[in-house]
Amino acid sequence: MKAELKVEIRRITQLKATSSNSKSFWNLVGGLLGKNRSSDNALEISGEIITDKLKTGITARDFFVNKVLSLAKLDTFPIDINKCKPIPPKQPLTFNKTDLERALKATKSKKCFGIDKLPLRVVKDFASIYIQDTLNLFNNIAAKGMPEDWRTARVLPLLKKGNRLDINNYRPISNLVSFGKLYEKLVLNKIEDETLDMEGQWQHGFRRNHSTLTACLQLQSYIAAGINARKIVAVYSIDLSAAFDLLRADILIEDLNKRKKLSEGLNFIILDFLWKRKSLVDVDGIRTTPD
Amino acid sequence: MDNQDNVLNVTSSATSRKTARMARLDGQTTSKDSGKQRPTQTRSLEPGLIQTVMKRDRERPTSTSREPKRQRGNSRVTSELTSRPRTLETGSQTSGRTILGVDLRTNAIGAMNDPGAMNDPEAMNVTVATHRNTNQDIARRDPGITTDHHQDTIAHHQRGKIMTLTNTTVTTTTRVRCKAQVNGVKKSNLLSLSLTQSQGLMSQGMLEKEPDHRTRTTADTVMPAPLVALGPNTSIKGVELKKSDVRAPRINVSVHYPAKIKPGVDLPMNTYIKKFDLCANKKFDLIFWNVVGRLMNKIDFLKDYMNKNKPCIVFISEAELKTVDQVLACSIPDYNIEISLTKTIRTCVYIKKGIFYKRLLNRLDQGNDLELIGLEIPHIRHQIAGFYKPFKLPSGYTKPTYKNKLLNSLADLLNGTRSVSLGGDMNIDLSKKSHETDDLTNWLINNGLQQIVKKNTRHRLADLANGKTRFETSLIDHVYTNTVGNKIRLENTGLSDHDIVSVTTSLLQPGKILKREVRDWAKYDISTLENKINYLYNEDRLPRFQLVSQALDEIAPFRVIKTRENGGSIIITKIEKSKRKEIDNLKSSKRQEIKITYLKHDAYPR
Repeated sequence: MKAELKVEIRRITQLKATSSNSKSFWNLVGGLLGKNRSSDNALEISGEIITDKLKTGITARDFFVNKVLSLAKLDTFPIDINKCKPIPPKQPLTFNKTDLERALKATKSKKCFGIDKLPLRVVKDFASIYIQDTLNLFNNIAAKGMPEDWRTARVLPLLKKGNRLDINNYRPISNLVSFGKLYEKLVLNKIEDETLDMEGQWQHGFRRNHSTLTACLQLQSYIAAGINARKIVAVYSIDLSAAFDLLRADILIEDLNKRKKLSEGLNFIILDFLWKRKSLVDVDGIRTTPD
Repeated sequence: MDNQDNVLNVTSSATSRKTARMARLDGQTTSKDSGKQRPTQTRSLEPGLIQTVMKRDRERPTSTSREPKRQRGNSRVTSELTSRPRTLETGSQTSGRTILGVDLRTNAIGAMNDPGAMNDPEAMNVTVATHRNTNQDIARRDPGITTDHHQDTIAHHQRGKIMTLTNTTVTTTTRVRCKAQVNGVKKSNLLSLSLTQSQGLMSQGMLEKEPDHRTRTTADTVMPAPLVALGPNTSIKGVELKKSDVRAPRINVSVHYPAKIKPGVDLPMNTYIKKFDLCANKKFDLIFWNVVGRLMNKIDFLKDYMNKNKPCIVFISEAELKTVDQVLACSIPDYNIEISLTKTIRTCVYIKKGIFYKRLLNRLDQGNDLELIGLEIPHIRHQIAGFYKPFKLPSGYTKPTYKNKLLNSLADLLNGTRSVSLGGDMNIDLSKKSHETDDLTNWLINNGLQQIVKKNTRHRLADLANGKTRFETSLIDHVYTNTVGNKIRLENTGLSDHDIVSVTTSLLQPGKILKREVRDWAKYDISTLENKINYLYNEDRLPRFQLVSQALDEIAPFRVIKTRENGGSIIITKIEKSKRKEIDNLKSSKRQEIKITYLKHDAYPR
């Protein structure tokens, strides 16, 4: 039946049904049968169905922001804002040509753009042509702080599962400015250089050559070792909701500096990166104001 | 041909020549004044006979002499011309019923001459004159297309006389795209109509010769096609062909009705609503009904019924609409009417006004013997056909030949592999088993259709030979479709022994149109980017990274593209077919398995 469908689809759509990727093939079949349709940009709020794109964007933005704020209220530990505030350093971090080349190599060229509508491919091209200009820009930012536009994320609500009209079923996906992405890559390399021996023994996420598979293997070997030693083994697991949205800059910096004293420039960059973040929701090209 | 001779005879006489001239002048003036003056030439003639006038070419005034001018590169025409004049004089005055229309596929003017209605006092005679140059142009342009029919018309034009649009002379205009103009209906006795929207009644012989691609090119321009039925004593005047486009000249036709007759058919040409919101309702109501006998007697009931239920399309079989008056009387407000192409019009369709549809002509049925009306609704990608297989077959047919022809032409209609619903009175009882039912079910399976009417639709008391009666029921009204989720409702009316079969078809929405902003990357290059930024930098002296987006906008600007989501219903039929095949294969393989095990047991005993 699959072969017959393939022939039929090739005839009708002349799309890439011939590719060996079975996932894309069944996606195509689903599309032809009208299963994966994009959202209708409508939301139901207290019995009313809103179809206006701007209104749906505003409601989605408020929902995503309030979700994080309500969770943050549960935090009993008081925030020390003075510790979170970035103060321009006397000896800022500087980047050189090799840093930039390394970062350019590491960044992917196909990424969704942010509010600047500038693809990463173009930014990479620009950086490879005008190396000194880009280095000047990034060094300036490392010394004085990020511009306002780099702090605002373009959020696209993506349906997870279930009813399209229910806003609880949407996941916010935020896209940042393309220049910012390159800058992040530069900073990441610097952080990795400075905190090379600081990574936790048990951390597998966001770490080179580590994945969920290595986590499982480590856990398994740990359990096996315990059983071999005739000990009682118990596994306790927790899941943190909105873990990255609720990241506390003051605690992070304190914790990092406890392990190893970071340079003044890097401290400033981390705090500056987390300071006064904003987001706006984009629904089919119509954007809300940032909040 | 009788009709043709008749008309030519009238004008060939001395008196009628004068009237013809007058009428010509008259026609010219009335075409400007949108028909305020009545044509004078009709008064001198007998009622029921209408004469028409052809506009002469200004450069080459038509010669009154019978010897025609020799046409370039067409010797067959001249031979035809020399044989013509005698027959003109000997023609007798007769009148026949003619229905005028335009073929939807070819956009050709057509007229059907019914010799059976000759003695009918209400019968009418419609003739149309066209500009002669167009035909000659056509002949000059591609002389290969000239047929016998073509020669006929050229002959008439050569004589500068009248051309009649009967079955024989239709061919000239098959190369012509006609578009009629509506002169306002301010006066009560004046009705105008546009011929592009009318029903095509033309000889099937020409349809054969029409290539297929032509139907596709004209599909966009074709408008909904209600019947153009001309009432008695109508005349067509002011006919002119505009040579704006040689391939597609325009014919303006205005129809003159006598003051007394107010036809019931509203002819709302050019007023179709494009966006009939079928998709929002997601439902499409179809009705098939065999009225048994004449529709005229039951039209009041049908009107009430359709007012209540408001179906989209209603197919009526055994309507017996023999004259134009009957067709007019059977019109229903808010519905367009279409009739079958047969001589005894036994089926008709009512289509709700506002539904944008296209009439499908049957290519296989050359003699117009089948009671079959096919429609396509392009907006929702749906094809509908209503049919009727009569007990009394037309001459030259046997039961199997007629059935095969009907089924073949139905299959031909649904060649487009889209969602289809066909229905009507098949006169094959599916509640009992016979070789006919087997054939039908095979045909259904081969075409990926299923019959969805499950209960008996016909109930009657049959008279037996011994004077007693017997109650009989049968399932002979069928609906075949490849759509999913149909609801069938049967309603028994006292007026007919057939039930009304109403089908609500749930239609899948065609895909939504999405707009997206996309960059045009065709001219993008690293070097062009560099040059652009340098250029902008020299002008503005801004930091270079601020100029990137501006440069990119100039090199690769945003463009709005429209994409359509894939709607459903395209490959559903194919999937169903393949499913059926799989099931069949499974069944056959199970049988084989049993055989194999038996053989193995014998071959290798323990």
